[in-house]
Amino acid sequence: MNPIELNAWLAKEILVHERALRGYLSRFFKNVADIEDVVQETYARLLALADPALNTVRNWHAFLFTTARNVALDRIRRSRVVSLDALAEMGSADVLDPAPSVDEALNARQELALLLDTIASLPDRCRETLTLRKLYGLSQREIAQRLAITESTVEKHVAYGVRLCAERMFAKRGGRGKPDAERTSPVQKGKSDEL
Amino acid sequence: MNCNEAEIAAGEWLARLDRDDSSPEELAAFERWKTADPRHAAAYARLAATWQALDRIQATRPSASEPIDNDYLNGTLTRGPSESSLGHLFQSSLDDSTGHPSSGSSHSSLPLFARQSRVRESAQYAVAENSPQSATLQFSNALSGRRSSHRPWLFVSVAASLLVAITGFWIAQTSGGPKSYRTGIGGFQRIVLEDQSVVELNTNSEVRVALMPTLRKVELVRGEASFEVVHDASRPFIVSAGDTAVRAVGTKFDVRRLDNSVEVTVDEGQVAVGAPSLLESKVDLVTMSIPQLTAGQSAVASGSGVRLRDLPKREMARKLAWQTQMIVFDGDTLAEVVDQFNRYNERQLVIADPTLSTIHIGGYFRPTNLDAFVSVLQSDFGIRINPDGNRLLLVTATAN
Repeated sequence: MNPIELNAWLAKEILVHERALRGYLSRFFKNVADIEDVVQETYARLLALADPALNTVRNWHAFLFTTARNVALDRIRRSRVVSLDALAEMGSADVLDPAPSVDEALNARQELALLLDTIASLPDRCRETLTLRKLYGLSQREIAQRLAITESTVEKHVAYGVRLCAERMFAKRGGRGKPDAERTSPVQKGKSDEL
Repeated sequence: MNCNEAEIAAGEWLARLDRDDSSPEELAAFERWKTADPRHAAAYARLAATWQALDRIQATRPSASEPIDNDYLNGTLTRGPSESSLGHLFQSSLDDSTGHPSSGSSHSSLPLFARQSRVRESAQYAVAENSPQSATLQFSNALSGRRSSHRPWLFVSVAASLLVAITGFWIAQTSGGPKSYRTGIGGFQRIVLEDQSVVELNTNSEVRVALMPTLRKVELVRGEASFEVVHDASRPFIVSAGDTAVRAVGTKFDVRRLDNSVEVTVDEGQVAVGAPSLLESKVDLVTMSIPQLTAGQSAVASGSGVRLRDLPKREMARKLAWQTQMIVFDGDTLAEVVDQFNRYNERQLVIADPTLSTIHIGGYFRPTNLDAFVSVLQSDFGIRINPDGNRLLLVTATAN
């Protein structure tokens, strides 16, 4: 795969499961940094596979969770203080969260809304930088001139912005993924019996 | 936020390489860093995939004739929550060329009222962005508190009113009486009513709103509107469109007037569809056998009655895409696509060569950016455009 294809594949087949993967891992690790490491190591193992191996995998969701489970087991075995709970959980629990249903697929409107929502939620300068870079296609230099800031500041906004976007789009629990109940929307749900 | 070293470094490398002046030395240093540890490569790949996915927002780019707006994406186009994991996200990032607007010269004389409501949830996001710690904190506050305060809504409402008043598209009658709201062709307006219910007007639409102590009444005079109704069982919310009315207590739905019928689509909750007089009286809906629609259903009401059907999710999304000021096509025929564009533009597309009618088209488009669409037709579909006054005649490119 060329880099463009690789990125598209990652986003479509792997990163879309990251939120669920983190949820799964949180059953074994209390510490967020541990989860972080396992996720990263899992991705590293996936990326180390050669293209032909990638082509043979049919169910990426299952493959991802199985790989993560192996990484987690290695880590638990290596750690000096082994949590018995974690090991028990590892041994018994079915590794697979239910596969994402078709219903969960984002439709076109939601896809776009997620991207726009993510950008809208960035800090001001960061949001402006990403808007100019991604929506209007300005270069970092042009952005620096337009916003009257240094190029190195623009670079920092890009670095921080892409990390926040990844966090919001793929990692974070809550936010977009949460049901309305926690958002206290001014609009409440209708109840059918009150119509 | 994920704050491990590999991720922070990956972000820095991505930003560095995103500049157009990376030196060979920098590239070599990047390769060294990336190969030093598989986790470096993994962290970088994750961010690179995110960065590439963001390219899809180009589909929402305004027409090239509009000046660049640094803050164009400050919350305007975004919609409310959407649950779910991200199933098919970004799958078309490789082949989705049709949705991209042209960068060629664009010319639109149409007023754009699309964006008054972008004012301003930004106060919530005002942070020192160079400080990841505080930014992260703010970020999560902003997320959880996004709709929790009424203040942003008020703000939106006030600012929106000002802008609309200036542009002359709002006719407010004396307080107490019904209020009218209109959009012109290609317009869009989001209105927050006094009860905090939200009305969104699509192109060329008009509503009259009367909020009364026991009843909330909206008349859809023409066009299409979506409603997000604040729950109030003691004050039903009734939308009438000619001989058809929709009654809700608290829900989200869309009403569109067509030539001889009215189409109702329910996004959330449940509504009843029937004659206005019937719905305004407090009859028992069940004993009167009044049709009720639930989320995911649509109804077309005409002289011959009300026809219900279940909408597949994709179609529901397509119907409501206008709320993000986009239209979405998925293998629609050119004839259908042309009908859609013609709702949003003074300049009318006309299929002059009937053999073109059955061409199938997919993609996202900003309906007011007619030039972008027309250039796609020319470049990708073998269609030539012959301008004729306010009309654009579509003919096969090889025809004379």
